[in-house]
Amino acid sequence: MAEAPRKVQVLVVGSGAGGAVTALELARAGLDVCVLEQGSRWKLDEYGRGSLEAMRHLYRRKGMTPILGRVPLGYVEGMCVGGSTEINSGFWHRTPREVLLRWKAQFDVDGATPDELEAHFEWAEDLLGVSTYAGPLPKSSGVFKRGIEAMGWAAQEVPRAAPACKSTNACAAGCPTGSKQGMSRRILPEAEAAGARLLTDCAVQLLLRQGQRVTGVLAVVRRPDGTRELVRIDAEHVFVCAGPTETPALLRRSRIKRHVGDSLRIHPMLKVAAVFPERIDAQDSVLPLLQVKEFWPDISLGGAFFTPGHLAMGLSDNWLENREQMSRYRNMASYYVAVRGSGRGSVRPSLLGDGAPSLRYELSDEDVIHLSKGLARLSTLLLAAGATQVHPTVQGLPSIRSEVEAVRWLDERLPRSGLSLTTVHAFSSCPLGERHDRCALDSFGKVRGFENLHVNDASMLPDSPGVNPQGSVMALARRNAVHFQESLR
Amino acid sequence: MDRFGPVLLAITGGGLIAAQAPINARLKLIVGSPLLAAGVSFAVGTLLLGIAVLLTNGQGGVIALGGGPWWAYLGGLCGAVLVTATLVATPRLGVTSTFVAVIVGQVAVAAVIDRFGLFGVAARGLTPTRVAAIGLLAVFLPSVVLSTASQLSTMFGLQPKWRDRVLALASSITSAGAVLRRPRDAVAVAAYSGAVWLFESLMFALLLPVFALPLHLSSAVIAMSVTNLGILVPSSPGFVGSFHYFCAQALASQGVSAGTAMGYAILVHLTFYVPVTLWGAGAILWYGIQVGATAAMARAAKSSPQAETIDGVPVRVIARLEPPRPPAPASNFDIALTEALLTPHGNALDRKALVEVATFMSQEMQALPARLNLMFEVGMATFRFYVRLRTLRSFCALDVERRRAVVHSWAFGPIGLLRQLFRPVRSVALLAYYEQVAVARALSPVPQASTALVLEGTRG
Repeated sequence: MAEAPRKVQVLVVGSGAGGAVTALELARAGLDVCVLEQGSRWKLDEYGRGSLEAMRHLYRRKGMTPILGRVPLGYVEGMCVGGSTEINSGFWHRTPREVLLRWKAQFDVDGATPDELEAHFEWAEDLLGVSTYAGPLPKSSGVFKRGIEAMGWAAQEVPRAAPACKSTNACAAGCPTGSKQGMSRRILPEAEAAGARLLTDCAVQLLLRQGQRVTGVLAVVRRPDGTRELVRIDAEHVFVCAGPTETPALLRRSRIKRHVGDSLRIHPMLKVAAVFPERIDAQDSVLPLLQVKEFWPDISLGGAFFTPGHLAMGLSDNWLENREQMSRYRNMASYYVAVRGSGRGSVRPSLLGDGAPSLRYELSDEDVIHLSKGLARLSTLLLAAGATQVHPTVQGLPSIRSEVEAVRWLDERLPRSGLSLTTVHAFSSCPLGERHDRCALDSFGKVRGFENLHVNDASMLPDSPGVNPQGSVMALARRNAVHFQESLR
Repeated sequence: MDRFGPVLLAITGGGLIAAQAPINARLKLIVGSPLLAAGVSFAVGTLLLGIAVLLTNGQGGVIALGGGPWWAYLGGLCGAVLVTATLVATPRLGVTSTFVAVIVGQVAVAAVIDRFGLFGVAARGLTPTRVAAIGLLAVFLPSVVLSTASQLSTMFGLQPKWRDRVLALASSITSAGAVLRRPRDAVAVAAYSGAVWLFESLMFALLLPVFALPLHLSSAVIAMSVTNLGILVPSSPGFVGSFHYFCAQALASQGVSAGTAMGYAILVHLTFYVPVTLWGAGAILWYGIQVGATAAMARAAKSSPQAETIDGVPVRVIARLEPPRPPAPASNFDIALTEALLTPHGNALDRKALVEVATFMSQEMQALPARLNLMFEVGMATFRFYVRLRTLRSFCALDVERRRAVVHSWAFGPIGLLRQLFRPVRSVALLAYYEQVAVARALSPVPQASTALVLEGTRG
């Protein structure tokens, strides 16, 4: 016990989509890997206990991490073993070809071509069992599909990392059946089997630096008896995979600031609740599985997580008019308009209090136009599918009851002051690429100016991928981990 | 070195401003009015500047006048206000006290200007003012303290052992201060210390008549403040000497004779310290044994090895920190607010469900990042103040209907900022309420909304 502690060979900060893949790849290559996770490890039977329990235990700051700006946005991310992959819906997209080309053109990314990434996507898809839904589509997907067909728009049923989905509608509270392949299901256990060690309840405060090298981290560990200790962990290599908000905050706290936290990107999202004449029982089935691709990459339409509580939140902007609708919740389902997000955002560690990052994003005019057009199209689609009313989360905007009312928003702009937006997709706060004037990392995730410090999570995506980001994060993380391990030889 | 010149110039300017006050005071005696004295003072200044402009050919040119923002021409106004203010204050407070007050104002405004980059000054993260303030604000800025400590110890090339000690010290200071980081607690602490100060200055004041001095609270406050600042300088036990010196000086500066001032200082010191010393001596006798035991335990705890392995990860324990504080329970206001947000017309909610929702809502708001939590608390305090002004009663004392009406007047009113304040509480409260299984179940089988919202035997 008393001998001087060894150095860890590779320290991975965070166990989400980026950190888990890094740990697995490097542990399999025979490196000595330790993963530090700020959240706790939960058992399967502790999952799926409703939104409130999940917010308390699985979400960062109990789900209270809004992004500020003239239009504030609700934003949540996971903070538990597995990170946000434990609380997302498991939707899987390969990074679209156009996006990769754009990254090459704008950020001069070395490699990361569709061909190069294909093997990494296949690797991840194989491990996670990525596939389309096995059973007949649930009602909330069915009515959406009916609308898509009526409009004749391009759409797809999105594959998910949930090969044996039991449709319990618990995605956002941790999948209690174990069907959804969050990182805690397969990737992390395999990493641990390959020798990686996982320390939970460990919040990294600071990277310790010595010139061009990082010597280790300073962290606060919460012990099982509730006491807390400030510890130093020495390491030869550090991979920061703490997510799009905490990674830049940690770097900036450690005085690593060049292009760090200056370019947060998100997919702003506007939700609607649609009332149908027939029973949907969206609260009892998996969320709608189809996405409209007709207007991609600017605008995507799809299905949102639905429970009575989430419905009430969606109706709360016009609560006095809408509250009576709650009794019809069995006939309702929620859908979203998501836009690519061309506004600018930033992440800064806050000086006040416990250093929680302060997140900012200014919605661009283009974002507002896309949201307005998206609302018009989504409402038209839902009305064509048979919905009698569509309630958008816009304060002061009455429910939309006819297609003529809906198409008004093709030409008019929604009022910024009334918008109630959310997002669950954030990235690009430490972009990678060879462009020294805008990239914090080199093309393989190494922090510029450092020999042994890497970033390997959603922060590294140079720009918005325009689709659910988990696939892009995992494929790029694996590519970078392989590159790192080859460079050691 | 290019900063040395400007610093010297600023110090000289500051020194001259201090000299300006007594000079102007003399001028006021001659001309009889503070405003006229200030006017004369500025006229002389204007004349001299005019000559200087002519001698240097007025680099820039008069044509440029009229451009730029309107406030750029009002700098002189600030000077006029300052000079008039010092003219009024100096005879009452003395030169030193006046300038302490002036500097307090200056530093505060300068910090605000620097922080927000007002008047075209480049906003900067770390000015000398803020470096000085960091010591005081360690409590509120823990992450800055930690990263600064780390950076400094690396900069000075400290050995890992010493670097760890610096970091341990930094984090124990900040973690001990964590209690103040919750806005409600900080306000409470400020209120308590305000009360203590008031009480102490009353004591200073009540002893004034003993020496036939006029009972002025202002002289008592000055005497107390100067004394308390003075005894911050490490000195003798019980501050014997330093206490007397500063207390007597403060009084003497207000025209009290030296002998009387010293007598007063001795009496105040005895009044403060004799009872405390006697109580303390007794307490040491009573609790001495326990103190010894605690010290022994602390030594034992420290001797445990610092190098450890937690879950297979080798770590070096640098410091043990205060356990995190559990979130505060829902207050009566939280419950009253939740009830006003949720209750539909003419219906009452189950009390237990209400408390559960209020507790969740209050914990979520406390989970917000500190800055947002502070903004929220300030907003809610303003709301409660508004309710009290409008109804002459506290929010909690109103019946549900009136509470609902006043909440709606803000939450769905015409002012965007007020709507924003209520949006997060409302959506969190609605989420928590409708996530309860019994609520959802009660909603559906009975389609009439009014009866469906009544809760019986809720189980979350």
